[in-house]
Amino acid sequence: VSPLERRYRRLMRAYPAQYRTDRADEILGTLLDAAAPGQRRPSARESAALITGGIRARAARNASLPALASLRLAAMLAGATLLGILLAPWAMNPSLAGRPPAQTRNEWIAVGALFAATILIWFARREVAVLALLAALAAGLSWHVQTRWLLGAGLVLAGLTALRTERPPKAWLAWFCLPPAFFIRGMVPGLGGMHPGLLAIGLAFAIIILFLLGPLVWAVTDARPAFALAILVAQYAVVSARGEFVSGRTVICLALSVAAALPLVVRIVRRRRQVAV
Amino acid sequence: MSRRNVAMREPTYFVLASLMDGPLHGYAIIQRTGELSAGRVRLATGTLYTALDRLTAEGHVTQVGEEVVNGRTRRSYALTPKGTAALEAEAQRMAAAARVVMAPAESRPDARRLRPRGATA
Repeated sequence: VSPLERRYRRLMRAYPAQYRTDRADEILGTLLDAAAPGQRRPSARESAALITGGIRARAARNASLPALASLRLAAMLAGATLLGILLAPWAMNPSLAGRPPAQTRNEWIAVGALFAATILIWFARREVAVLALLAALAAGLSWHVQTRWLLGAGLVLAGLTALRTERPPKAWLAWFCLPPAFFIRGMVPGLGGMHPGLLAIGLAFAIIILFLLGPLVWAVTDARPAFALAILVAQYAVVSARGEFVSGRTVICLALSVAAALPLVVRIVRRRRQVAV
Repeated sequence: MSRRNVAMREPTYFVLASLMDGPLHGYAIIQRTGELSAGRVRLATGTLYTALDRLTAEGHVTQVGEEVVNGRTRRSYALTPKGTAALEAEAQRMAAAARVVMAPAESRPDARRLRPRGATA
């Protein structure tokens, strides 16, 4: 295998796996035919075309998935992300240091188990993942480390996992880059409003963009993360609406979630009509 | 809105045109589009296959042959009757647009009545 072929194969990972199985050999043949003699690296033009072609192929595949299954998976994703967001402060909480060691240890076990159970949804059989989720929630309950929101999100997630007919796509794990990006933003003093060095700001932004890249590409090719985001934002809107007054932020959140959910809802309605005709 | 009235993009037009004289495989399509467009359309391989996927889905192009060259599958693509019709319709649209510019001035409708009063030339 020549270095050029190896590099082209690496670039072609932009395409969905099934597409690569069907077409990679053919496309690679054309790429190598078109290469100059002795060429060792893909040109910038060919590289860009392969990456955008891969993103388009992914978008086409995702748009052809059944809408209702998509909805259920999107809801699972929202539940998993909510858990991630609720769990992350635990890992960063400095006040844990002053607590009794047993309590701290129990919290770590409960939180770690819940996080591991969430990841299991992607890798384990349905029954295993549901049992792991429920066990982690029960441990949290018995040690009084659970908040109501955590329990709610965990139960919803367990329910959706029990209903699922397929595993969520591995690409969805990219979603878990969002909470770290969020917390890095919060940790860097410069982005909080003190007097940071330019280097610190630049570094923080670079890391945040790196974390956001996966979710962004994926959000472009798939309607489901938008819907998951809609569920998350709607949840936030409901929480903030329970305060004394409905803030502008609440309204914006609700509007955002409706806007994000719209494409998927339209697709479902359209499918229904096609079936009816 | 119907897509039929929207102008075909130039690479699409030349990909279809390259298949007019018979089926071709991927690299041959890239070479032929370059020849036919006098070097203006230089298709990247990724762009070509994105276009072929779309044209196949629209029924303008179909896969006709498969052979193994150097251990790799090489597929050939051909125009369908629908693709031929779309290509000819686009050629006629462009020819009509070109006639407007190329025709002698006296054969065009008089434009003077549209000019604001007092304007010269």
